[in-house]
Order: sequence, then C-alpha cells, then structure tokens
Amino acid sequence: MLQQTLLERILEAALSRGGEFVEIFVEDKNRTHFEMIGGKLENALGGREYGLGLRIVKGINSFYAYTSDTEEAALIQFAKSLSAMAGQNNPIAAVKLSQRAYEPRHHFRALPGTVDAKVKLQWIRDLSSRAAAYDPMIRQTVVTYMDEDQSVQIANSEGLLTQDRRVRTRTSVNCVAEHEGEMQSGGHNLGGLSGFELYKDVNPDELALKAAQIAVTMAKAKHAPSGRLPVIIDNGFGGVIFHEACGHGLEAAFIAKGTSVYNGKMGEQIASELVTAIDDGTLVNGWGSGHVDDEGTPTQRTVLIENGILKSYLVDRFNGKKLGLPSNGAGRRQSYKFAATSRMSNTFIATGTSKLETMISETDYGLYASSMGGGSVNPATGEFNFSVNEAYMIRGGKLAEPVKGATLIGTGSEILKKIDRVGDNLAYGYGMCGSSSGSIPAIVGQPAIRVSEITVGGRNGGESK
Amino acid sequence: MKTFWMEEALRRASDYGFEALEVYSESGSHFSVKVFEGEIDTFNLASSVGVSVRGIHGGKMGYAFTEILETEADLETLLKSCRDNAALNESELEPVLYRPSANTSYPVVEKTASTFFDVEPAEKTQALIELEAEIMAQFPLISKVSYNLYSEGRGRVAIRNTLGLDLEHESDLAYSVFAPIVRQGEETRNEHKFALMRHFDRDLLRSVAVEAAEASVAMLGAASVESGEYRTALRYDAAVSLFEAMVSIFSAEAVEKGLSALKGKLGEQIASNCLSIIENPHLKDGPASAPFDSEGVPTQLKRVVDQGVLTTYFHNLRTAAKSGVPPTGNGFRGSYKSSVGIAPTNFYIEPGQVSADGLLNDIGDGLLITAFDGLHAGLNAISGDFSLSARGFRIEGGRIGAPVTQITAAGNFFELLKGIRAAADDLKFESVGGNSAFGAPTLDVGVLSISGS
Repeated sequence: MLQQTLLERILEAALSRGGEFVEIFVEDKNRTHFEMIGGKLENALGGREYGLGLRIVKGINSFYAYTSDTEEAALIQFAKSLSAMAGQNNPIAAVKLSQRAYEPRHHFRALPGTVDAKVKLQWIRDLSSRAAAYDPMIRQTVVTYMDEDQSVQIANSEGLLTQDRRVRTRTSVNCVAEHEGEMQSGGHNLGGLSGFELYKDVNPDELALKAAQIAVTMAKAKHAPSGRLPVIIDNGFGGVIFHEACGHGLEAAFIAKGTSVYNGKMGEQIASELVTAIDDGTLVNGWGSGHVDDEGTPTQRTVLIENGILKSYLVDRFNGKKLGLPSNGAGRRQSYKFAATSRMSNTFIATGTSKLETMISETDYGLYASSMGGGSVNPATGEFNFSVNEAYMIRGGKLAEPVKGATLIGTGSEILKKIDRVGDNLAYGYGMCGSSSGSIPAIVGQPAIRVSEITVGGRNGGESK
Repeated sequence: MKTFWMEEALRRASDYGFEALEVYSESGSHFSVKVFEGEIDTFNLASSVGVSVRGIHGGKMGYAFTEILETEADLETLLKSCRDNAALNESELEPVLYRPSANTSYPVVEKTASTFFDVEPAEKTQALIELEAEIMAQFPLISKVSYNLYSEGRGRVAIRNTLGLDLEHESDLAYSVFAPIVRQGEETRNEHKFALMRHFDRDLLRSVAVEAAEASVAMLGAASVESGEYRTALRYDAAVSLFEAMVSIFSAEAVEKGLSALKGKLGEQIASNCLSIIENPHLKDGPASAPFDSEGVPTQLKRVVDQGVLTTYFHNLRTAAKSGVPPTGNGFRGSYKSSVGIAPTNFYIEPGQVSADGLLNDIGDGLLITAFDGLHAGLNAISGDFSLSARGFRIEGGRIGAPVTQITAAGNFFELLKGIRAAADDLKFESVGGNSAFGAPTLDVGVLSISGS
C-alpha cells in the first residue's frame, strides 16, 4: 500500500489540468487456486496481483487508467498523462487526505497464508472421494478451491482515505454422471468473505453429495417439456432469477443513461405484493460483502423493492452524481484494472410465509426447479434467460419424474408480477457476477417462490398433462 | 516490473532445485473509449505487465505468477511459490517444457501493418461522438445508443526457458461495437454489431453502426412463435456462439478426463459430410494468428473435421506426450495468471458454395436464428444438450419474414452436427478474445425443437 504523502502527490498530479473529482484505487491481492480432478490435484496455482487504478471525472465524463508500475516518478508521470488526456487547464489546489475509519464487522481467523496447503488439499480430497463414492454412475469429479487475500486502499480528491481487507474463499464440487451413454453434470458450491474457518462447521456431504445427486438424477432424467407452465423455484441459488430478471436493471449505470426498463418506475408497483428484495453488502462474512465498496463508501443494507414497490436503485458515486442520488455503497470492481460501477453484492428476496410442500400441493401441473444454473439479461429490453440444473415435474400436486435441459425465459417486469407464492425458507447461493466492471463475488438468494406462468424451453415439445 | 529479475529467475533455477524452468511474460497497452449522448462515457488507458514461472521440480510441474517484480525478495517469493505448488501437484501426466531442436522453425504470420495507434485518442473520441449523432439523425427510431465503443490494444509475449527456448511475438488488435436502442411505443429492441479493423477507419465504423441500427429496427414487432419442430438455419453469428461454447470437446485434455463426447471418435464421422472445421493459425490478418503457442510450440494449420470426419484433437505438450502424438501447437494459457490449457487460434467452419439467400430459399419455411442467449448456462458441453433463449426471423417462402423473440431452441449439439444440410458462403469471425477467434457461415441445421407461446 502507498504512503499518504505519495497518494496526495498523485492526486495533485492528476488534478494538474483540472477536473471535479479524482480517485485512486490501490490493490494488492494474493490468490491460490487448486483444481482436483478425479481425486488428484491437477492444478496448483498461486500469484500476486498488484496495481493502481486512477479515475478522473470531469463533468459527466470519466477517464480511467491503470498501471502496475510502482515507482514514484512513474506514478506521477502516469497521473499527469491521464490528466492531459482529460483536457482543460485549470489546476486545482492540493488535497489533504484524512483517514476514514469504520467499525470492523467481518473478522477473519484462519487467514489463507497461515493455513497449510495440505489442510486445504485434505478438505477438497475428502469432498472429491465422497462425491465419487455416491453412485457407480459418477464418471468424473472436479473440485476447485480458491482463496484470496485482497488489500485495497482508496483515496480521493474529497480528502477520503480508507482501506479494506477482503479475505475470501470458495469451494465448488462438480460431478459428471453417465447413464446409458447419457452424460450429465451437477454442481454445488460454498463461499464466504472468510478465512478457512468457513468450512469448519460445514457438513461436507451437503456440498459433495448435492453435486453428485444432481448429476445422477439428471443422467436418468428425460427431457423437460416446453410451453408456458407454473414453475416453483426453490431457495438458494434460485435467487439468480431476481438477480437477472430485475437486479441488473436496478443498477444506477443503466438508470443514469435511461437504458433500463426500470427507468421512471421509482415508487411504482413493479412486482407482486409478496416480493420484498434486498441488497445487503453488510451481511456478516457474506461472499459479496465488504466494509466499504471499491469507492470507499461504507456498504449498506438497501431495500430495493418493498411489497412489490420499487424503493431504491443500486448506486455508485459516479452514476449517483448524474442521478442526484448519494452512493449506497454499490460501487464495485473486479480489480484495479476496472473502474468501479454500480453492482449487486448480496441480493435476495426476503422471506415469506408459504411452505414449499403447500406450494407443490397447490400446483396441479408444473415444474419444480430445485437447483438453478446461471443466466443473463439485456437490461434495455428486460429479456432474461436462465437454465435449470435440476428439475422435476409436478403432477396432481405431487412431485413426479425428474426432467433435464429446461431453460426459463421471459421479461423481468412480467415474471416479478407473476410471483404468487413466497416461501419461508430463505437461503443463499454463491456466484460470480460478470458485468462492465469485471467478475465479482455475489450472493444470490431467495426462499422458494412460485411463478404462476413462465415460458419453459425443453426438448420434449408441448406434452399433454 | 524489472526484466532483469525475469532473466535472473532462469539463472537461479538450479539453485531452487528446478530440473527445468520457463519464464513467460506478457506486456501491453490498451486504449478504449465509449461514448454516450455526445459525451465520454468511459475512457480507459492501460499499461500492464505480468510474469509467470513454470518449473519442473521433483518430477512435477509448479506455477506461480506476479504483477510485481521489483526486488530480490519478490523473485524469491515467486520461485518458492512455484516450487511449493510443484510439490502439491499429483498429476500422473509427465510434465514437459518445450525443448526446441535444430530443425524447429516457426511460421511467418502475414499481417497488414496497423495504423490505428497513429490517431490521437481525442480524435477517436470525437469520431465516435459524431458517429452517434449521425446515426441518430439517420434512424429516428433510435432513442439512445447503449454501446458505441472503440477499443485497441497491443501486446508482447516473451517465453524463455532453461532448455534453449527464446521467443517473442507482438500482436495488435482494434475493434468497434455499436448497439442502438430502438423504441416504438412500448417496444424496445437492442441489437449490436462488431468489426475488427487494422486502421482507424471512419467508414467502417459507420457501416458497423448502420448495420446495428438496421438489425435493431428489423426486430421491431418481434413476437414468439407457436411451439413445435421448425426447419432452422443459424445465421453466422448464432452459429459462432454455439460452436464456440462447445469448443472444449476438441481438447485432448477434456477427452482424457472423460469430459468430451468425442472420446474414441478419431477417424469417425461425427458430422454431416458437408461440414469441415479448420484451425488456421497463419491466416493473414487473422484475429488470433500466432507463430507459436504459449509453450513455444510452432502452430499448425489443420482440418480438425474434414467432410464430417474428426481428424485430430487439440493438444498441448502434456496431452501430446501422454497420447504419444506430436504436439499440435494448441497449448495456450488465458493469461500469465492461468495454467497452460488447450485452445485453438483462428477456428472456423469452412464456408460452402451456396449464398445465405440461396440457403434460406432451400429451406422454404422455417426459422432463422440470429442470436442465442445464456450459452454459459443453457448448454451442457458434455452431453451437448442445449435449451437456449433465441431470437431471429421466420423464413417464409424462402425469404426472411417476421421477427421472432421470446423462444427457446432445444436440441443436441452432436445430433445437430450430423443433421447439418448446408453451409453458406458468408463466413464471419464474430467472437475474438484471448488467444482464440471463432468463425462460421450461416448453417442449415435441419430441424430444431422450438418452444414459444
């Protein structure tokens, strides 16, 4: 991390040709990545990312540059050249930084650098053998483990100086099962803003066997039907539906440009009354949490939608300024190679009152999606798609045969209004969210929900009930 | 980052007990600008450098990378971390670093000299601002342009090892992307187009923008179709995205690990005989042309699928040694931060004789799919099963008809390959990133199961 006096000199150089706002983001990150295939560690990779990103804002224009060069003279020159690109010639007075402190709420015990690699390996080897032993149909297991220890330093021309340390780890189990020549995969993962202690109280079977069970069930499953059906999406990673169908469209970057379907909808009913949705960057040790965001603003718990009414957007500094809204701590980025922008952190639909069993028994014919895959959305049109990893038909109010290869498509505004049950079993899933400021850790979450009707795409055509 | 320490790493290899050591470095500079409503939306300048060491220690391969190499302590950390990672490695495959022989020669890759760096960033920014205004004036239905981007970069890769390898390769690339938002009543459409360029060419920027505007306007009035089985063509861009998402099946690594359905299919008919798939690393001005891979192995032209018959997998040094075949020059790494995997360079489906119009005419009535969404999730690369959100047009009486959206197309990639009836003559490279570029012409893929209203 850089000395305060050097940061002040860089800010001064960056402001030498004017500008309203300058921000420095310094990052030092150590990463470890293990990949165990078929019970053998095939890849062990580690390294250090280090660099500095500089942003100059003039009016509504933003100029960004980054470098890994750490020499003082080079950094000053780097700041001066970006300043020259940004044009004009009205230098601004020197900036005096003052440290902003906050109460630490995320504590790390078993730091990645202090845990023996053999202990980490033992953890994934155990998962690997449990998954492989689940069923003779399991043909391959791939277990990946990552941890990282990221220190960031953020300084800006308003005098802010702050630091954060984010220690994260995630483990993913993926299995391939084969049945009569049909190969299907299943996966499950766990992650946190945490050291290795994350895994201390975890039952390894919950992780390993879930992945294996999905692969085996899907290898035996027939193709999903197609058509418009009621769909029950179970808890945890099912929250990807809200993330794609709505979350991205609430990002201030799209709102400020007027390119989101949620523009001008503040205070309006955009979802069923049963839906309350929250983005919470303060969630203790949550995978997508931090003390401050990547612009140095303290993270917050933001109610996005309350009883179906749009209450708030996800706001970063830069786009917030365009909108006349204060940042709510949503400015995030993958690394110093990206300018921060409005992103989700830990985003979920709040818990409701329905029981999953009741939802199923109240559905005569439909699809029960017990495990979701990924998805994507075009925020301009609101059109989203996502894939279902594990699904079962519902017939006569009862779970029936498993089906594979279902994709759900629709538009956000449509699906949110068609949520007619929200369950009482809120849980989280641990994903990576990719967008203009890179790939960042994010929690998606929800209790089980029922959508009264959505387009299901499967290979089995429109079957009769 | 000091190059002195990179050289020093090789000198110290034996002090750390490495049997062989490789130092791989990437350095580059990059500029991009995005304009929105007459103003700079993003303006990015970057210079980056990273170095990775890969070494054989105790008969196992280790890796480590860093973006900071300023002091002796940084070098020590790097070499120690590489050695520690080698000690953890349990792979049964023999680790290999490339030892060039007296006969090793590298192809010359022809390239039109680029001139885009000669134009100042301010002029490029101004050109995009003018382009936005011009296109909005020409197409009144455009409410905003969500994406008006120009990006350029150049990079240098250097690979040296203790076995006598000493290589360098420089590359550069520039492209533009344009995506207008078209509004009519409550309806919004947003299609994008992209083009590679060797010069900062305003006419080319304009034609990309016009194409994107026309494509977005053409989608107005799009509706779903009735679910059913449809005779289907994939336009080059949709064909590329599907083909790219399945590329891992050609990797010898995936084959070995039981993650590719092409296992045991060498020499067999895996696709209709009107389909050939080529990897050409030496294509003039090819977006991914390269004389050698990330391990220093010379790249090679190959017909991976020749009239439907699978002729080879893609190998790196490790998989080639295990299979007892020569390496194919496909040992690429995503960056210095990743280990060596397997990837193609310019990889494309060979164009046929028929024009795209002729191909649609032969279909008569059906669907032309122009885009798939959600390929990272809606496609199972192992089984080949897919169910993907799609959009495009009806084919009516052999011509492009009404626009179509909110449908899913479902099928199996391996069955689709066998069912391909024709490839048109309109090959385009639509996806460029990292070491790879993917191309395809419009394909007549027979019948797909479509789910709609």
